Amino acid sequence: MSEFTIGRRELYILPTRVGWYYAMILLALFGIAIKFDNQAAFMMLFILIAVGMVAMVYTHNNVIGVTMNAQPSQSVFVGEPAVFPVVIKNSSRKLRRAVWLISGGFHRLTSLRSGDSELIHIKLPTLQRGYRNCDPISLSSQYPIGVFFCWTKRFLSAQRCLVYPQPLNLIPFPDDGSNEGRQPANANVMMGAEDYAGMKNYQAGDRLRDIHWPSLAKTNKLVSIQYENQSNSSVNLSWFSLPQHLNTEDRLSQLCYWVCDAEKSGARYQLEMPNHTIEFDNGRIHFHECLRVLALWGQPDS
Amino acid sequence: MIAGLLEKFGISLPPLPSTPPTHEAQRGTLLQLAVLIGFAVIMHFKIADPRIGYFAVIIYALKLGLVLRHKAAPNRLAMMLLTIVSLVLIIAFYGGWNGQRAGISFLVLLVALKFLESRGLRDYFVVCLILYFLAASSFLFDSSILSIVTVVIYTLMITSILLQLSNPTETHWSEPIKVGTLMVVKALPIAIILFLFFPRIQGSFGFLPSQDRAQNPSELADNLVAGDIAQSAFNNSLAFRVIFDGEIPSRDKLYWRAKVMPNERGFHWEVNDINSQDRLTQKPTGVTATTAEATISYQILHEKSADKYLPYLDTAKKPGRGQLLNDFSVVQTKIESSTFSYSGISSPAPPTEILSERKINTLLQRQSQPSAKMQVLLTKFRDGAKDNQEIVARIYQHFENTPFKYSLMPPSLNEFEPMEDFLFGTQTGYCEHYASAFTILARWSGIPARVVVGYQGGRIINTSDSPFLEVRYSDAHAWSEVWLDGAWIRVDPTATISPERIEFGMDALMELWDSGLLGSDAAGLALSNYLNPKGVSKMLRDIQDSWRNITYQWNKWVLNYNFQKQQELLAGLGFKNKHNIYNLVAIMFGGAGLLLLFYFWRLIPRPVKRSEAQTSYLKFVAKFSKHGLSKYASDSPNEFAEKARQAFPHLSDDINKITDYFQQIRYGQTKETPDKLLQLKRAVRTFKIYQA
Repeated sequence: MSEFTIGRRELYILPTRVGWYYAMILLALFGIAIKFDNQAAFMMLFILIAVGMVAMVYTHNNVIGVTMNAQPSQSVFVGEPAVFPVVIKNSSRKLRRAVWLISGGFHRLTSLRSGDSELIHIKLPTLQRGYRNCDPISLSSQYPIGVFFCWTKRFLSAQRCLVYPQPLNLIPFPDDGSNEGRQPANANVMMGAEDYAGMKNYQAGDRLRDIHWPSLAKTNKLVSIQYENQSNSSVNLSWFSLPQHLNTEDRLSQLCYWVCDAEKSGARYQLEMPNHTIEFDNGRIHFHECLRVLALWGQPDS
Repeated sequence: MIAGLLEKFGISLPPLPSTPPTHEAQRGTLLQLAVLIGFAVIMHFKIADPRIGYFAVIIYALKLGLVLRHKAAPNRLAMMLLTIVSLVLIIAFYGGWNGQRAGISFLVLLVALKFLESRGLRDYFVVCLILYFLAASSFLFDSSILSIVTVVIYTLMITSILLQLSNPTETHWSEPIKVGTLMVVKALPIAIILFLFFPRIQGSFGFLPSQDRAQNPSELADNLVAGDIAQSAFNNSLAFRVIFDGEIPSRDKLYWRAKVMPNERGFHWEVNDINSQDRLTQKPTGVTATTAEATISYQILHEKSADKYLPYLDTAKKPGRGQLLNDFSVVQTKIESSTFSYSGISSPAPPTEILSERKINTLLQRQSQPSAKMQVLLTKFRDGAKDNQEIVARIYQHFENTPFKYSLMPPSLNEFEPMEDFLFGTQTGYCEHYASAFTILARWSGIPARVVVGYQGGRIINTSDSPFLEVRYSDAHAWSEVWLDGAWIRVDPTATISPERIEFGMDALMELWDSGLLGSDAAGLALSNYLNPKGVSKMLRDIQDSWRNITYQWNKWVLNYNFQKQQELLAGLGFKNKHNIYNLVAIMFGGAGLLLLFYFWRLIPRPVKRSEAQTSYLKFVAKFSKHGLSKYASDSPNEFAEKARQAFPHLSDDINKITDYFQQIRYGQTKETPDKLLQLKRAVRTFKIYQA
């Protein structure tokens, strides 16, 4: 479910605590009006009751009909906040004021003009690697006078965020002979020292500056330029080269650190895991593939 | 709490948002709230003990200083101390808790203290709610139309502050006021339905503050001290309004009897103790009510009053409220806390009564004996008189022929011989002096007589279809009644001293008094100018009269809306059966519910209408769906055109044209849109999909 429109059956409304106080005040006023048989006090009482009822309608209709649309989220490392972009859209003619979007511990206030939509990045903490689902999202509002508040059924977004292990540099890089060709990182890599290798269809993850814009104008398609990386160093990042005393999570963290390091240095690298090896390569896709394997390691879903 | 309750009945709600979001109140809002509270504190001076008011001002100033300097509330100990001081002050100045004034002072101090103590959003909400309550309870002291307008504006302001408190986003300053006004305007029809149909029941709630018994100082007292009524001449506030069933009688016939005072205490008069007086029963002994005469019926709408005696015109025949006493004054047993209305039927004929010997003696009682000089005067009245009637006429003539002066500020009289001092000395007095003097002279001459206090005249307001009479405290008057041939004949000596007072009413007299012309030769001209105003003064008078009419209608229809009026309304709507409380409740809930549903329907957000270009384009898209090609929401017009071109290459030109037109209209900035729209429509209409 990536879109969620709030209908009448998705919306609930109850008095706030202030609303209960309001009711108490009205009750006291009622007593006074009856006791002194004061018609003006009655009038005031009824105006206040009616204002409360109108406020109820306002509060309810402030949220009804709003659409939430979950967007795909980007992967993050453990410790960084997982970001779930959600577009909330007001496709009515009415101005929506002071609507709270609440998800887990995150809340954000928005006001939406007629036809407006707003992109809200829900930021949620990440505690472990693997897929993280967005906490149920609900909207709430106590506009206009805070005596009623309404809230919606929980919107369970289908979007997941892949959380990579936290990169940790626990042990020095092993020099056990398996990395003979490896040269010190950053030694001969210079920015821009890349050779033109050809064109290819744009793929998510390609750098913006690699997009060949003139072709877009001609063919209406995104095309990226491919470069051949000059860096000829290569690294083998192996699960087996890690010392025995490290537990699984630490191993994954260490491998994650090395993957990041290797990607940064521009070297070609290979990730060797039990029963699973990702061959030598580099670039964003390779990088994320490696991290994905690390993130989902040992999880049945992978 | 509620959610748990609902679950017991098998209704489950989705979990509430875990942490109710909260935010800081904006400073501008707080300053507005401060202004409102300041207003409330100042208004408080009008009705309650000023010393409490000063204390509230101090607390208020403290908070204002804190807000202006961005400081937080004082600590708990200081708050506790201030609270205790406030409670002590209230008990000290009011002698306890009970009473409206103590209650309202308590509320004002509560608002000020709560405001001082407020830290978070919820505190400010509570302050606003107490302010609502305070505004409503001010009606116990004054529910005139002007005060209602003030309170409504005040309520609007509180509502707009509530709006600002619950919407932390920055908005234009006028927006909360606009939305608040809109809400109150929408609430008014519901409020009116509730007001009209809410069953009026009378109840007693012991825990609520009881009615203050303080008497309105301008009300008629149960005793008459010379000079008292003269003081009320300057009190222009309203006593009651009268609407007559027929013509309004001429002004010199409008004698409103309220209190009959037969007991004399040296130029002062008192009413009989009500308990000792016989209530007039259905078939009175010694009293014959003559029913042959024409009667006048009327409705009186009386202002709030703590007086037991009710004014009725002349001889009350059938009092609509209260009990008729032997002397034809009427007393009520229950004091109303607000305005009240009653009907009356009166006869212009004097009340008749057959007096027993004992009663005649009490009515002849005189505390002091006449002096030698007075004896001479009395002999002059008595000598050669055929009957009592002639004696009364002679006394009246004496007042007519002696140069007595009428004054709103009469000099005080000699304490020991006030009668002699007045008749032979100062010869200046107000109506009560003349009434007293006349009554005493009649008694000395052996004629039973008594003083009657009430109102004379009034102001006729002619603006609406049904003219009505306004009687003010300044119209208070005193006159005499003498017992001649078994009837109590009214004698008003003031009529001969100051005919203007009786003929043209108190307003005209006040006008003369203010211009210093009372009793002078130029009085006639000034009087005619006053009575027939021209130009601006006439316009002003008309405006005043219209305003009086508005307040009259307000009092009649709103402030005096009671059980009886409600019954009449129901009958007017065609409900006549007995269970009318059910009718009321049904109409109330039905009406209010319908209105609420209507608002709900009106306020429900509706999708923005598709433009003509969009509908046209969607028709174009729909033509493809029959051929298995559909447009996803995520497809842009260009992407869709690409798909369409791939499926139907031979239609490329048309597809491109329509897509172009649509994009130009929807996203272009050209002015030729209507033209383009026509082209688009035509292109879509003629577009047909056929296989190549």
